[in-house]
Amino acid sequence: MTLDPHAKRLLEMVAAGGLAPALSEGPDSIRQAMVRLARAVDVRDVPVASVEDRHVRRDLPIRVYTPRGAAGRRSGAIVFFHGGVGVFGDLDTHDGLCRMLADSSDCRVIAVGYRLAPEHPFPAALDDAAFVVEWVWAHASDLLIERERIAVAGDSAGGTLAAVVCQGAARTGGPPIALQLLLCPVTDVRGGSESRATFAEGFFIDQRTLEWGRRLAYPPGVDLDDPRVSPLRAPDFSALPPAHIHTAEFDPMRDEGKAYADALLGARVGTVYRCHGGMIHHFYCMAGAIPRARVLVHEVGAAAGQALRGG
Amino acid sequence: MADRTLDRSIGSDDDLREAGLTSLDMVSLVLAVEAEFALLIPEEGIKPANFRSIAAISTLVHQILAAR
Repeated sequence: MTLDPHAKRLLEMVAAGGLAPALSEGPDSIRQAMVRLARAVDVRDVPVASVEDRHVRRDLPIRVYTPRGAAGRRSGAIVFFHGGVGVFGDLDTHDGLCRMLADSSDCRVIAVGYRLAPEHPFPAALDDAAFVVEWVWAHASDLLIERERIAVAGDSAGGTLAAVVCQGAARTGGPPIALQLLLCPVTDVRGGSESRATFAEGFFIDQRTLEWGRRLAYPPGVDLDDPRVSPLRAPDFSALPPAHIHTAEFDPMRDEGKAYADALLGARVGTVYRCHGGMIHHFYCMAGAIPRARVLVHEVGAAAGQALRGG
Repeated sequence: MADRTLDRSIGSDDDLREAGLTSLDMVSLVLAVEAEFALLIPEEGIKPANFRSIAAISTLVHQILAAR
């Protein structure tokens, strides 16, 4: 396909702004820019029954979205980790996406405000991610969540967290996870794929920004081949939960998402793979500016909800 | 837009990027200008020079409105 016209226009706007947010100014500059971007391009009009901010630990906030169809009754749940190369992104930058996922899946969505690098380098984010999944499992009945219907999800670097949490749970006998939902996941931080090269510049997230985030999130001494950093490099995929893996056609991370789907399929893990034609990285958070993204996210959520209900 | 993003006032000829506008902010800026003036900026209009300063944006908006 060709680039979606709205996505193309958005990329032209980013290009007109010149360089990416001054990375040399430190992480707060890009963190704030992402929040402002979300105000401009995220959707706000997605109805949900309730949105509740709470903390599972003093430094670990979560946001619980209850869809209209689940108000006052039990439902499945999607524990969601936002993207942002481990350095930026928060509960607000992915608010519209979480609302859409809750609405379309008819499951509660629990978004996780995990600790960010460089203040909290690897494995802080991963520890938080695993902690929240266990916390949700332990508190399922209080949260009106059906324990056998808990999905772990994430986009981009949050997709890395979701994939690694699933690998960890499978290895150590952690909480049973019914589904892993990965949106444009980073599965190999070394990034040697063809799509990383083809879309290295001018496709929303540049190679320069990816490398900057990698240096901050994984300080010297962290092995980038560790499957907890690059889940695609795991030796075994056989005991993993079923997966829905979504990539975007014009995304540097496209090929590694596909490779992860292929690895799971090769290990006979039930896997649904979909590459969204014409789309770019982060499309799911820019549905206010890319109308097609809203339709696609609805399909993503509906399929996940159906899978969780055993459909 | 400006007062929400920046903590000091901006003159009409000041370089917005020097004032702290990032490439991601350009998305917000273009969309905000389109919403404010109820217009669609054509592809060839979305270029750095047209958004360099408030004065440049003003010129662009006037050109688009005059061409109607």
